[in-house]
Amino acid sequence: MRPPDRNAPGVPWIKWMSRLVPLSRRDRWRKEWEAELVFAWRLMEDDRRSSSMARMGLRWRALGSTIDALEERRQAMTVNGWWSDGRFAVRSLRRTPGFTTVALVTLVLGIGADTAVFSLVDGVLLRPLPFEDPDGLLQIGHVVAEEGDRLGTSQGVYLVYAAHARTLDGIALHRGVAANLMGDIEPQRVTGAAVTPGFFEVLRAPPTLGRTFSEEDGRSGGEPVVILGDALWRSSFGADPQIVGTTIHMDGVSRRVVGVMPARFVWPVRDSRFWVPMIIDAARAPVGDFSPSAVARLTQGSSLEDARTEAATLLSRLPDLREGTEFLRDAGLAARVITLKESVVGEVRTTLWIMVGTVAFVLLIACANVANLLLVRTQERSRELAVRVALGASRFQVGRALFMESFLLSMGGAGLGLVVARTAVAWSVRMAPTSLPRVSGVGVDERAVVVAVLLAGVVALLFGLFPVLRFGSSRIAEMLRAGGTRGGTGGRDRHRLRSALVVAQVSLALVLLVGAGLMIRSVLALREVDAGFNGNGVVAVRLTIPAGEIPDARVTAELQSQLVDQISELPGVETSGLVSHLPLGDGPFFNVELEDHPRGPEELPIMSHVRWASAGYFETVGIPIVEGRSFRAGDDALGLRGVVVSRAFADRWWPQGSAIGRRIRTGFDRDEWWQVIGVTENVHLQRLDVPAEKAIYFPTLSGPSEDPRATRSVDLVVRATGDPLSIIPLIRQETQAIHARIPLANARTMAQVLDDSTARTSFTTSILAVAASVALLLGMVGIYGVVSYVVSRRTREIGVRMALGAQAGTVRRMVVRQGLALAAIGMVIGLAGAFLLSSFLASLLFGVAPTDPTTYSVVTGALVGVAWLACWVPAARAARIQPSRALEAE
Amino acid sequence: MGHLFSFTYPTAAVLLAIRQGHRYGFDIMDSTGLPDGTVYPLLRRLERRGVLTAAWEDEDTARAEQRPPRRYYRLTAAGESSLSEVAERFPVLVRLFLPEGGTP
Repeated sequence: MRPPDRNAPGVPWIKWMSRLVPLSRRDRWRKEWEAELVFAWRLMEDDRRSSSMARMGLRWRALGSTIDALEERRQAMTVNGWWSDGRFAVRSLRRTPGFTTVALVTLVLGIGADTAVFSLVDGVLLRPLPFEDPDGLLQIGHVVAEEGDRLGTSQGVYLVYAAHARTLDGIALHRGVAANLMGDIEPQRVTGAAVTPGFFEVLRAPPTLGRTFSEEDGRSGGEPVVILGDALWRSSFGADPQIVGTTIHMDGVSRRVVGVMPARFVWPVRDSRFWVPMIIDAARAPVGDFSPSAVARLTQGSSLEDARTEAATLLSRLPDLREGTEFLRDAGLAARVITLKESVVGEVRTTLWIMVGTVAFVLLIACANVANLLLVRTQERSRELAVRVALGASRFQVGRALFMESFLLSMGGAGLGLVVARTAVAWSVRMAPTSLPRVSGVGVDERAVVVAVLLAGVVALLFGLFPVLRFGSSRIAEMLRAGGTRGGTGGRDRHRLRSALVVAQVSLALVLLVGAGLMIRSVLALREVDAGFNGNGVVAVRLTIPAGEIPDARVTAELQSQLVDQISELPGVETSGLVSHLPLGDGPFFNVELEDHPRGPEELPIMSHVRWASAGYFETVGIPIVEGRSFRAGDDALGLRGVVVSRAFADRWWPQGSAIGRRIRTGFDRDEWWQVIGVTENVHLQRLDVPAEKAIYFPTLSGPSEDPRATRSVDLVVRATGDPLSIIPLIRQETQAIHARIPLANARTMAQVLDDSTARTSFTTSILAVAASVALLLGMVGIYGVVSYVVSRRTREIGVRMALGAQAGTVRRMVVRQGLALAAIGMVIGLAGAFLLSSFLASLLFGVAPTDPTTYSVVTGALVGVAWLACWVPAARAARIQPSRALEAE
Repeated sequence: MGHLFSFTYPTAAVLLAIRQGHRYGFDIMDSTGLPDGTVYPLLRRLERRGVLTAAWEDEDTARAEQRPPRRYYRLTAAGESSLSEVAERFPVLVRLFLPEGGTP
C-alpha cells in the first residue's frame, strides 16, 4: 500500500506556521490541518474542480491557519507562562485578603522605611555637593592643642595661605551674617554670608545674572556691593531681570546689586540669601579672630595629604611669613584640613548610618515575617501544588508560580512603600534638627524609586525562595501523601525553618530595642543635665540695630537699655535683658589677657568663650550669681568697666582666692582693662553633652572707653509671668515705638532653645523608637503566627491529650513553653548581637554606657512579656479545644 | 455550575454543526460559513473546556483513500446538555441546522 499522499495546496504554509505552535501540540496541529487540506484537495480532484481558482481557495483557507497557530501560541503562553502565573497569583492573593493585607502592610513598612531613609542618606551623605568638581574642595580650619576647640581661619592666617600655599588653587573665607533689608520693600531680616572675593571662583559657581565679586569689591573704601540669592531675588524683587546695577538698602547701607546666584546655590549657611564681600585690610587683618571659615580648592594633582603637609609647614613658618603671629605658633595652633563634604556631613554620618542599619533590620524582620506567612500558606496549598506537579509541571514551573506571589507582594509593597516613604521623608525634613545639613533638599526621587524596586526584588527573592526551596519536585510524593492528613505540624524541618525565622525576628527586634532603649536613656540623661539656666517662662527675640541707622555706639547702647527698661515695665513681664548669644548655640571664642597671668609672645594665649550681656540678663534667664554682682544699669555712666566670668573660668585661673577685682581685657582692638565684678554659675554655652564652658561676659557696650563698641545684634530675653509667647506682640510694639526700623526676628522660648539643642538626639531616638516598635510588633505577629499555626496543626493531638485527661492549664503551659523557648533562643542571640553592635551607637550616647545592664534587662523583660502575650492567645485557644470536636474534625 | 463557554453566535453555530454531523474542521467551516480563523480557535477552546472531544479518524479508512487521517470532533455529554441552552438562545439557528425537529 502506498503511503498517504500529503501534497495539497497550502500544505507548505501549514508546515511553516506549525513552528508557531508549542512543541507539545505542534505535530497534532500540523497533521490536523494537513489532513483537512489533503482531503479537500482530493474531493476537488475527484470532482474535477481542481482549477487554479480552487487552489487559491485552499491556499486562502490554509492562510487562516495562521490565526489558529497564533491562538495556540497565546494559549500556551497563558497556560504555562509568567502571565498566567501572575494572574493566578493576583486571584489567589485576592481570595485571602487577611494574608495579603498582613503581608502587604509588613512589606510597606519595611520597604517604605528603607526608601525613606535611603532618600535622607542619599540627599545628605551620598549626593555630591552642588558645586563643580566638589571632590577638590577643602575646608581649612584650626585647632589649638591645649583647648582642643575647633576654630575657623583668621584673616591673617588666610592671607598667609592665599599668598604661599601651592597645593591650593584658591582659598576663600566666609562667615554667616544677617542683615536688615529695607528700602521700598517690606523690612525683613535675612541671612547671608560675608565672603572674600574669590569665594565663587573657588566653588566654581557662576551667577545667573551679572557677575561675582571682583578683587576691588573686597578692598576697604570700595563701593558696597551685594550678590542676591535666587530666593531673595524672587521673593523680594519679583525676579526683576534688570536688578543688576540697582541699589538696595541693607542695615542702612546702600549696596549695589552686582549679581544673582542660581537657585541651587545656597551656601555656606543653610538659608543663604545674599553674599556681601568680606572687607580685608591686608596690613591690619586680625590674626587671632578665628571665627570665619575657609574653603579652598586643591590644585590639579595635589592630594588632601599634600594640602595637610603644606598647611602644617606654613603654620610652623607663620612668624616669618606674617608679623604678630608668634603667639599662634606657640599656642600649638594646628591646621585641620578636611574635604568640604566631610565638613558638611561629618557630624551626622554616624547618625544616618545607624538609621540605615535600623531600617535594614526592620526590613529583615519584615521579610522573615512574610516568609513565615508564605510558608504557612504554601503548606496549606501543598495539595494544589502536588496536583500541579502530578499533571506535569516542572519544579521550575511550581517555583515560578510560588515566586510570582512573593514578587507581586513585594512590588505592591514597593509601590505603596514609596507613598509611605514620601510622607515619611516630608515629615523627617520638617522634624529634622537644623544641624542636619542639606536636609531641605531631600525628597523621594527617581533614585529612591530604583532603590525601592531593587529592595522589593531582593525581598521577593529573600522570602519567596523559602517556599520554593521547600516545595521542589523531590518532595512531591511526600506532599501528596501528607497533604491530606492534618495530624502533624507540617513536616519537621519545615517547622524548624519557621522557628528559625521567628528566632531571627526576635533577635533582630531585641537589637533594635536595645538601641532604642540606649538612645532613650541618653535623651533622659540629657534632660537631666543642668543647663545652668532656668528658661521657664522666658522668651527670646533677636533684634539688630544697624550701624547705618544709629552710627554712635553709646546712643545704640542707650537705646537698648531704654528698650529693656520699658519692656520690664510691661504688665506680665518680670524682668528682661540682652545677650549677644543665647546659651546652647554658637558664639565667639577667642584670646583674652589676664593681668595676673601675663603671657609673653612665646606663651600660649588664654582662650575663652566671650558673650556680651546687659543688666538684667542673668536674672531674666535665671543664671545664679555665685559671687559679687551682675551688671547694673548705669555702670557705664559711672565709668565702671566691669565684667562677669563663669565659675569654670574663675576656678581655672584663680583657684585660690576670689576672682572679684581681677583684671581682664580682650587681645585686640587696643582694649583696656576690665575688672571682674561677679562670678556666675556655669552655663552650657554650646551643647548639653559637653561640659559647661569657661566664659567671660562683657557688657553690651564694650571696647576701649574712648572708642566703645556696641553689640548691635542681641537677643532680647524676657521673663513673663504668664505665657511667654503672648508677650511678643507687646515687645514688637515697644520696639517699634522706640525705633520704627528695627525688625524683630526669631522669637522663641528658652524651652525651645533647650529642645533644639537635643534635637539630633531626639530625632535619632524617635526614629529608633519607631523602628523598634515596628520590630516588636512584627516580632509579636511572628511568634503569634507560628504558635497559633502549630496549635491548629496539633488540634487533634491536643484533643487526644485532653481526652486522656490533660488539664487546660497543662495544655496552655505546653504551648506557651514552646513559643517562649523560641523567643528565648532569639533573645540570647539578640543580646549577643546588641552587645557587639552597641559600640556603633557609642558616639551618640550620653550618660549611658553602650553595655548598660539596666537597658539590656528592661528590654529583655519587655520582650519576654510580649512573647508571652503572643503565645498566650493561641495557648488559650488550645486549652479550649473540645476533645470530641477535635477528633470529629478529622 | 457556571457556563462552560460564552454563548456567542459562532459557538452556537459550531456546536449545532457538529450535532448535525459535520464533524471535521473544514466541514464545520463550510456548513456554518464561518472563516477558519474563527472556527479552529473555537474548536480548540471548546475542546479544552470539555464540551467537545476530538479523535483521529480510523487509520485504515484514510489509508485506503491515500490520505492522512483527519481529526474529527464530537460533543461530550456536557456538550450535549449545553445544546438545550443553545436552543433557548438561538431558536432560529437550531431550526436551520436541525430542520427535522431534532430536539437537542
